[in-house]
Order: sequence, then structure tokens, then C-alpha cells
Amino acid sequence: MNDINSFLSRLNSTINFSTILPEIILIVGLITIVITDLVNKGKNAIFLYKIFLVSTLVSMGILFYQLISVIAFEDLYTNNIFNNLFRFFILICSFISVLLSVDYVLCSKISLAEFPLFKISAGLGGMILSCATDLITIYVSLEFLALSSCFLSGYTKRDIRSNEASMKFLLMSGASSSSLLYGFSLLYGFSDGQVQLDNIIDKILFSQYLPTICISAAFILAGTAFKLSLFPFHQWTPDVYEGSPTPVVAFFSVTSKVAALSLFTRLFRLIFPYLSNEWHIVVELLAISSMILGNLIAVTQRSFKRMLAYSSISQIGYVMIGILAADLENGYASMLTYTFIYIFMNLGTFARITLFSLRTGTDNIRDYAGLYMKDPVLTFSLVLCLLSLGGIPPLSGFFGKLYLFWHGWKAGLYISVTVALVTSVISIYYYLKIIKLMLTKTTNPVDTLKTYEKQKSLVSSVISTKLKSSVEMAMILCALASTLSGLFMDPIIKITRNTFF
Amino acid sequence: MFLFQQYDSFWIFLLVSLFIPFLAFSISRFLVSNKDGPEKLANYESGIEPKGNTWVQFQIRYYMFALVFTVSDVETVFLYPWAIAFEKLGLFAFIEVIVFILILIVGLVYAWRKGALEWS
Repeated sequence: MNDINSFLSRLNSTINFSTILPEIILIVGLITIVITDLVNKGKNAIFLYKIFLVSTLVSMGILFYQLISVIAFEDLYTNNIFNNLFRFFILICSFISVLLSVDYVLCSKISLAEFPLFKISAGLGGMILSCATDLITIYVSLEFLALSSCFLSGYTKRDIRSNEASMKFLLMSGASSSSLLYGFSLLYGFSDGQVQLDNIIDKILFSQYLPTICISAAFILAGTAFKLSLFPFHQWTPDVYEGSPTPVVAFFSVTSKVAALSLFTRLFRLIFPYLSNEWHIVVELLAISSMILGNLIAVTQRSFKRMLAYSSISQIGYVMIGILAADLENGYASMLTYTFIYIFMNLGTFARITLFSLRTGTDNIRDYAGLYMKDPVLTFSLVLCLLSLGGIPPLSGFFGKLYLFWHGWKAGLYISVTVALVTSVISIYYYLKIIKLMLTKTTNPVDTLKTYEKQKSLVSSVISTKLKSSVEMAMILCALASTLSGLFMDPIIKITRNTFF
Repeated sequence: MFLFQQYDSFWIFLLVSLFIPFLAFSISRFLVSNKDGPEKLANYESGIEPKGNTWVQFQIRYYMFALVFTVSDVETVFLYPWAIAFEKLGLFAFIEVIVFILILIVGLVYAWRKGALEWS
């Protein structure tokens, strides 16, 4: 008895279990899904999804409780509010994206069990990445996230576009990870063998090795900018978004961007404070080019998913302004609030696209014509989400952008904010184009109506009514969050304020 | 003698090790006459007549087995340092390694049940 007591107290002092309890719950959920799938031999697959949702919800609850009480665990994880908020965001992303993917996976008749498996592992990778404080954990969790996203993007094996997307994603993420690793190895070498971020800062003699530290910063920038799809490293985004199955695109358009944002902010804030002038200029340049490029090319797109890919490139450009504008009394509040709102807007739009492509099987923007007559609920919610993405006043996208640009202006980034305002107006054009197309009558009502009816009867005979509501639940959740977050902006800002480190 | 003084022996070793295979090939080229006939130029297939295409389809079972082997091999590599430092690490490390092995066993059972280990 004494032995067990001393063992438990030593256990609690070496690693504080309650700190990584959300991740442990996710891992237990993962193993449960694998074992359940093996035992059930492929039947009753919806149960697996329920396990996933339950474990994610429990994780979220525990994380929420931890957000209130801050516990420190200095070796591998640091539990300040910044990291916890990002873990919370990633859990929200996983939860909502699985809600909206159940229908799609059932309908496309691909193997059902591995999908929540990959989603949990990608979510786990993202969560650990948000908290990691040493280079090896950062790299391993980044690879975890990237590989799981690769497998997810190639999930529909028989579709050739999915194979192409997965191949491109794998190759390019491998190249960027190797560049990141090279930057890390330079840091490791200069800091005399230290791997923890804090010890690296202590030991590097910045004055002596400054040119090579700049090279290291450049490589790390290349590696992380790939995941964020900033300007010269954005080439994978449209192809991968267009080819992968839609719920998968929803998932990794938010999760990997959120995780990469936390990585980017932490690395550049902690390791390179002496270089802050240099990397501020470079990041500003990247952000401006991403915004311009993303918005201008999105105007010409004909496929909805590709257009959303370019628009997400430009959204990350806006968020970069938030990273550059961080200062002492406000922390990273603008970036965190905009990320929070962006998650809901993006997932909401993808939920509606998933529902639409389930019903009609098409991705072209032109096929959205006249949707108002066929399904007013879908149209109305899609209108809300698109307007929120564009930044129209009563919706939360407007408040997010307002706060972001105001912060940027106060921090002195005049050029970036001006470019951001101009490109924001351009982005309203292509969102409104889709809305106009949906709300007005279609030119040839016969063809589209026929395909719609046929697909609808096929789909409703396959899926039960209980499942059909999960996508709609995700839709409603995202629509509400997109509109009402703007009104509840103040508490959100208050929470995200003390995140400067 | 060479660029970095303390690595002299290394450079000499490198030169000699590059030189020896070259020597082997050139001696045999000078000593032996080249008599190429149609039988000598045929593909080697352990003494039997080669037939069929040279390009055959890769069988996926080799890849599956190699993959499962690699995972188990890396697991073994992780177990070696633990085994050496077992005395000093105590009960907590033991339980941790049990958890590690259990997770990998779950993966192995999964691969087994999904048919990755079928040799046909």
C-alpha cells in the first residue's frame, strides 16, 4: 500500500497527467475505434463515429475545465492560455468536421472505419503540436498531422483525382518538412545540443552567428509557410483541395492551418526575437502577396472547392497581419478571434458544399444556379456563411476583420492593412457572385432539376433519417456561430487577451 | 599534406579504397580476352533459359510484409535502451513500455485482421 502510494505520488510529480488528459482520452478513443472495428468486422459502423464524437466531446470538456485553471508542465508542454486555446480550436474543428462527413462517407461506399481513425490521429497531431516546446516533439507531431492528412486526402481510392491530390500533398509536405528539419538542425547545432526551445534561446549567441541564424529562420519559414499556404508555398492548396473528398478538405483546411498558426507564432516569437525586424518584413511581404494572389485568382475560378482554396490562402494572409500586430497589452487577441471565427465560417461553407455535392454530385459554381427555389434552407445558410467570409457587417466575419485591421493599423502595418482592405472588397465580389447565382432563376431549369430529383431519391433511400440530421446539425451550428459570434465578440476578446509570451 | 592536416590518414584511406576496385577491374580487363557470343550476352537467370517479359508486376505482398516488419523493427530498437536502463528506471517506465507495446500490438492485430499478412 505504501509502495503504491509513493509510486502514485512520484507519477504525479514526474508528469502531471491532468495536463495531457485530453490527448490521452483521444488516444483511448482511437484504440477503442480500432478494437471495435476489428470485433464488429465492418458492421454497425455508425457506432464508431459515435465513439469518436463522444471522446472528442469529453476531451473538450476537460480542456475547457483546464482553461480555467492553468497548470504548468515545463518539460514537453507548457500550459499557458495560448496553447490551450489552440488545442480547444483543434478539438472543435475535428468535432464539427466529423459531424459533416458521416453522410458523405456512407454514400461513397468506401471503407468506413478508418475515417474516424485518421481524423483522430490528425487531431491528436494538431493538439500535441499546439503545446510542444521542444524541437523533436514539434517535428514528430507535425509529421503526424501531415501524414494523417495525406491519408485522408487519398481516402476515396478509386477516384483518380483523390489519388492525384494525395500524391501531390505527400511529396510537397515531405519537401517542406525536410526544409523545416534543416532549419531545426542548424538551431540544434548552434545552441550546443539543446532541443528545448527555452534552452535554445538561452544558449545561442545571437551576435556571433547572426547570418546563419538568418538562414535557419529562412528554412523554418519555408517549412511552416507550406502548411499555412502562404504565397510562394501555396501551390499545393488548390489541387489538393479540389481533388480530395469534400469533408476531408473541410477538416484539413481548418485543422492544419490552425495547428500551423500556433507553430509559426511560437517558433518565431520565441526563437528569433532579435531578428524581429527582418522576419516582420518578410512575413509582411508574404502576407501581402498571399492576400493579393488568393483574392485575384479566386475571382476566376469555376469550381467551388478551388475557389475556397484560394480564398483560404487570402484569409491566412489576413491572419498574418494579426501575428505581426501582437503587442503587450493585447497579445495575440486579434489573430485568435479571427481564427475562431474563421473555423466556423469555413466549416459552415464546407458543410453546405458537402450537402450540395451529395445531392447533385457536382462541384461547379454554375450548378448552384437557382438553388433558392429547390432548397431555401441550404441557400440561406450558405448565404450567411459566404457573407461572413466576405466580411459584411452584422455577421462575425466583419467583427473579426475589423479587430484584425484595427490592431494592424495601430501596430503600424499601414501597407498591409491597406492591401487587406482592398483585397477584402475584391473578395466580396466573388462571394456575392455565388449568392446572386443562387438567388436568381436558373437559365435551363429542366436539366438541373432532373439530376437533382434522381440523386435525391437515391440518397434518401440509402441513408437513414438519423444520419441526415448530423450534417444539418453541423450546418446549423456553424451558421449560428458565424452570425452570433459577432455579437458576443467582447467576451471572446477578453479571453484571448493575455496570450503574449 | 592535404587540406585538413589532421585528416591525412583518412584521405589516404579514401584514395586507396577508391583505387582497389578500379585496380580489380582493370587487371581483369587486361588479362582476359573478350569473346562475346550470343549465349554470353543473354540474361542471367540462374542457368535456365530466360522466358517472358523482363518487366513483371510488383506483388503487393512484399510491401505489406516489409512494412509490418519495419514497424516491429523500430519498436525493437526503442526497446533496446529501455532494456539496458531497466534497473534504474523503476516501475513507472515499465508500465509506460507496456502501454507502448500494447498500442503496437493493437496495430499489429489490426493489420492481421484486415488481411495485410496474407501471402496469396
